[in-house]
Amino acid sequence: MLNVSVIEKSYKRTHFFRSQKKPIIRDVHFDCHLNKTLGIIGESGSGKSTLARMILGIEKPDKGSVKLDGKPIHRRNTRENQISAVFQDYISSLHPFHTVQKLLYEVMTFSGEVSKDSLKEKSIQLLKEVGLSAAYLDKYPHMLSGGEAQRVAIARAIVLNPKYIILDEAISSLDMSIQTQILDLLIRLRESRELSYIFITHDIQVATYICDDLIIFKNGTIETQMTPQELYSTENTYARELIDKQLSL
Amino acid sequence: MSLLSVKQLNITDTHTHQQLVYGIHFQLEKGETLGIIGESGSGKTITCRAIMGLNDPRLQVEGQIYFDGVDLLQLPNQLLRQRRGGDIAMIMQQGSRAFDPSSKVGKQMFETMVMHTDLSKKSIEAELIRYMNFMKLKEPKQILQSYPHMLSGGMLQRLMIVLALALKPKLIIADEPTTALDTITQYDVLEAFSDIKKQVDCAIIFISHDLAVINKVADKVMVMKAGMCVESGSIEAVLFSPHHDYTKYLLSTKQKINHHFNAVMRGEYHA
Amino acid sequence: MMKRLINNKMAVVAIVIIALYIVLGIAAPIITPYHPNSINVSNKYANVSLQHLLGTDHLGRDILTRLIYAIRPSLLYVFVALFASVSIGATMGFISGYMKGYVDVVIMRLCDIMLAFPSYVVALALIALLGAGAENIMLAFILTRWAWFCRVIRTSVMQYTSSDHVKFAKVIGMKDSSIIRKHIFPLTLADIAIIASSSMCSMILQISGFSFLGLGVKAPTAEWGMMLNEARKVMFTHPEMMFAPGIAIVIIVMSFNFLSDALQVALDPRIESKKSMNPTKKGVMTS
Repeated sequence: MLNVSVIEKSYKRTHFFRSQKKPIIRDVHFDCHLNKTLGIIGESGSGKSTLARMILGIEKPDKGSVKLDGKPIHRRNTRENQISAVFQDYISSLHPFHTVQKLLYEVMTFSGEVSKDSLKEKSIQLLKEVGLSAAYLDKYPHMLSGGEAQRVAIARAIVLNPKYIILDEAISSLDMSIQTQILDLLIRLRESRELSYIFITHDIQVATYICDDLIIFKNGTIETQMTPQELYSTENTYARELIDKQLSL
Repeated sequence: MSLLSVKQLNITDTHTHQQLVYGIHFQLEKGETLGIIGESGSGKTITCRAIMGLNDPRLQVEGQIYFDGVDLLQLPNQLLRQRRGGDIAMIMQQGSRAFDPSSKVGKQMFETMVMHTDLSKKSIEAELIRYMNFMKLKEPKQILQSYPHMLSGGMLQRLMIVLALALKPKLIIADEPTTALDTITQYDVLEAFSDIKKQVDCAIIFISHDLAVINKVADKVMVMKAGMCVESGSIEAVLFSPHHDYTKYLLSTKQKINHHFNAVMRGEYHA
Repeated sequence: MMKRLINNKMAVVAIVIIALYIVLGIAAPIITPYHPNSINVSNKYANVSLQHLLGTDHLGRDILTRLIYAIRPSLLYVFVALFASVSIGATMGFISGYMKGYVDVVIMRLCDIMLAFPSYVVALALIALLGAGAENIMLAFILTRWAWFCRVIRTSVMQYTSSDHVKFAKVIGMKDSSIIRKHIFPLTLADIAIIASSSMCSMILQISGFSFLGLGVKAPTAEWGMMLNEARKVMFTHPEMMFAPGIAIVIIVMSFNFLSDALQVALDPRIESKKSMNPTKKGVMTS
């Protein structure tokens, strides 16, 4: 179980030897259970990227902790094979000099697999799972379209058979029709691999589609938490604003 | 006579000899809003850049683009530049990148206004503030005195729109102006667009890949795929009774998520 | 990457020329018919002949021999100096860019101090202190140039460190050293190669320049700039004496420039495609 308990995280700025502390996140406490998809809905500037980094263990809160099964997540061995990520910018998240094959191999060899045959077989298997043919193995990231690149990123994320995947605005940069395809892919993978997702987005419709539980994040703190079903009757003003301002056809 | 009349527009890449846009043909009247729907790679951006003459020189543009009776493709650069900004304004996707990070936002906006209008300094400021209020930008005077890095992406995007409107052009080309914005900001900006449409008589070309956005602002629609126009017509015709398979496909994928959300909101999944 | 490099004809020509120069320079004593300093005043200003393929200079020394021996100070010393300054600069740049924080601040202020001194002035100062000599010019070079490499590489490193593939590597628990080695170094290598090869050109010119002024290598050491200086005196009577060293310099500097361009294209798989502008395909996948 992933346990997030951030009491404070600030942005420190030293200006002529005087430190200015600007709090980004305050009093954020939530849990993410296994096999559940938790949505974090926040507009830009709400601090969700910083929160994502803390959940991933690459940044530490000033006060508070993020624990996975009771162990602090910023320690490498806690994270090993448990947690993975897919990011928003598909251009930046794939090494530009590595082919798809190489970047998958890198993660596989990191987890201990060595035999070249099994590596290739496993790669083809993974690509199939995300809807790409074996022909993609020799392609470089700049040759891929947005949807294809994100599929590769998802394939890379599931190599280590993690239990949790953090999806930080993973579909926001994609075209509308591709977004739906990737969402359906994520839902299928969730079933077949028993994954837990933390889905960070600003789009409440998308969050409702894929998540079991929603956290509405505003100005660095939790505004409210509820299931998608409870959105129907929520009285929280910010949540209402988000719902009403969603455009529909 | 239409304000803008694009006839048989073909754009070819001279390096790869690939044709990127095939025979685009549309008209736009004063005060009308045309929505161009297309996914990445459909050619929508280069079509609109061709109107402004802003394409890379390696892209060869053929056809006719009549603006106010003048074929823009035949105009020399000097005259074309005068039209740009003055008569035709463009709003790009990434507002944050449009501003020079080394000088204040207000100063940059002033410079543009001075170049294209004859207004005095005070009236420029008044105009800008008026439109900033429209865009729901709080404390406009303070914003004008800020540097770009102090403002959020959403605010900078709205400032770009403010500038485009303040120039009072005859045609505004907006290339995915709300894509990088949050839900609430996007809604506010589109509301402002609708209000302005009623007050100012300019024609708008609004490019987006999001059908819901187009539905909110446009009067008529053109769907582009792989450089061709696959369907066009009024909003009601194209979005509610589409003919072409591609349009139907685009609608269906968006609707899947929409319908689920609306069902939840109606309480159908109330546990 | 090697394949792409070899495909580029310019690169191959450049590499061959550079390799040729290096081999000649190292093997100078073996292949040259004469000693570079063997004076034979009775044979001065001899014309091109089978015995003296490029003629002789004002002291009767064989020009071709001197030209080949001149490769050593002009090229090889410069290599060493470049290698030293790039290594120091790159190491400091990586540490500074990856670690950030206080370490970065300290290193950057150190760079500021070093960059405040113009390299020519430092060179002249060192010559004044320690006397003329190629070693001192090289020392001055290393002292001032490392800071410039450090800055450029640091910017490059910072840019790549913030990219998402580095973030992913950190998330799955890769060690910092592995991340730098696999994810950052190859990307910065393109930048390093370019600035290194362009520096090479200016360094060769600098040492030749100083030698031309008489402040570089000590006579009678053979060095291209020195040879140009000697030829200056008889510029109008024996212009051919200037051509040999002049052309030698032009060829090697141009080779490095071409190599630098070719390296940039070879290292980055994206650049070739940019030239042909493959439009990206839309991801209409049926899953």
